[in-house]
Amino acid sequence: MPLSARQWLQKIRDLELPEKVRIMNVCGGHERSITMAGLRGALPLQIELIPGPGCPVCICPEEDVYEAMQLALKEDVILVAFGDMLRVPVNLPHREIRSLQQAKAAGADIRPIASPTEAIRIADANPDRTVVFFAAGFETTTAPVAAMLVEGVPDNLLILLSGRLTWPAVAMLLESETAGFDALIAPGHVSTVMGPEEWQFVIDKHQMPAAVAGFTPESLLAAMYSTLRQLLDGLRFLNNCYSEVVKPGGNKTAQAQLKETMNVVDANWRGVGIIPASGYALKDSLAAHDARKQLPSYADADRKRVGQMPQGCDCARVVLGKVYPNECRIYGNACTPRNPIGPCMVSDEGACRIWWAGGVRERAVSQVAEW
Amino acid sequence: MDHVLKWVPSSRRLLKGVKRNLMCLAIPMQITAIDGFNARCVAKGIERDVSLFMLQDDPVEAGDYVMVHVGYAIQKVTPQEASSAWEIYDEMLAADAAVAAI
Ligand code: SF4
Repeated sequence: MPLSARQWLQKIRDLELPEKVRIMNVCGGHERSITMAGLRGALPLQIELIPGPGCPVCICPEEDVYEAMQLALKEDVILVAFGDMLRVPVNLPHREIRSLQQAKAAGADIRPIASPTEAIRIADANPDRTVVFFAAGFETTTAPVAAMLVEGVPDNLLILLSGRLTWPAVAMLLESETAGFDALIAPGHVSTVMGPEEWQFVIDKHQMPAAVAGFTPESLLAAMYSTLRQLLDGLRFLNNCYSEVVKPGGNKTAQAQLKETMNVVDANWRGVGIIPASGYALKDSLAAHDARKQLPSYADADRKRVGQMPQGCDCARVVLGKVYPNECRIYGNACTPRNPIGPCMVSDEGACRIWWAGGVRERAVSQVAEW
Repeated sequence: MDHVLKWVPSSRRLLKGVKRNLMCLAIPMQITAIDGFNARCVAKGIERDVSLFMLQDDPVEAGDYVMVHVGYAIQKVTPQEASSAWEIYDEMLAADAAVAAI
């Protein structure tokens, strides 16, 4: 009989915890479950749950959003993108077009999609036009793009790929002297595709407890309990608390399809910088479908704040788990879901938006000295 | 402990407005028919076409449950896992909004 959330919670409460334990999650879905189930308020005060790099929209390079916008505005193309990307602002003066949504309002042919199969359908239905699929996302979303490419795409479909890998961002944090967390909840659906073994380095290299979790409060609490027990008992092992879905080795077909179509390359994360081996790029064999090779580049290194988060927005530190969303100076003031300043408030997987949706209205005074 | 695991009403209202897919969240569906790599799937009475192209090492048949992400089945799951996953998604999103996004 699996334990209920309440029973897991009681088990955690019964532990003799140290003064402070910081558990990071790296998945927008996890953060949503944690926030909506009110786990922060329910857990002992010593436990801090930190949302980390779990939002692909938030770290999608600003210059890639800019490029997608320019292609849609200046080239004769249909641009399709996952709906979340449309409201992400780039750093341009307010009187200019600053998001795909604004570009669409200005007449560019931009269509939100929810699946790569829709990109194919749109390309098939418009054989005499070029369709550009702006594909941003982590492994779980990039793998279907790879599957689509292996299966075969129409000649008039080009991909503007901004795929990212999750674990290298965690590796970067752990390799910095100030990781800022003591245990890791590894993402469930990334592990479903890539295999839980991807996270073994957290144990082997950094001797940090880690557990893969699903999206129910039970699964998340089980994973938290596991990492806490590991800490207390001096044990270290990668505990798969989502074994119904996450299988050893992951989805081999998906991994083979990723390998066949894409290389892993050093890649830029918005506001963060280059993270080694953290991005996907289309292989040369797919050059005919690579928007970066087939269409002009509108990259403009002189543009103000290129690659950065918007002025005054603390998303970069929110994404890295350095501050909580409501420690941003404009959380809930200038920046709300209705009027988002940064990508973390735009995306359904952004920590700022999740906290706001979860009812967090007060700003917290940051403990960071410089403030 | 009474507030534990209860959903904040205002968030529920807000989440009803969520129309977009969560880019990392997969949703369980049941396969009703298969034609090559395409499967007709159903969840909460709503039907969708789902690609089986990523499941070639793990063959599925009509009646099976799969986790579906951006229109692709990424993993076969048991009926129990499908129903426990749906319990939370029912809470997290109005079911129609979630399925509309698949
Ligand atoms: S509250 Fe808004 S401006 Fe502040 S970090 Fe979040 S998204 Fe950025």
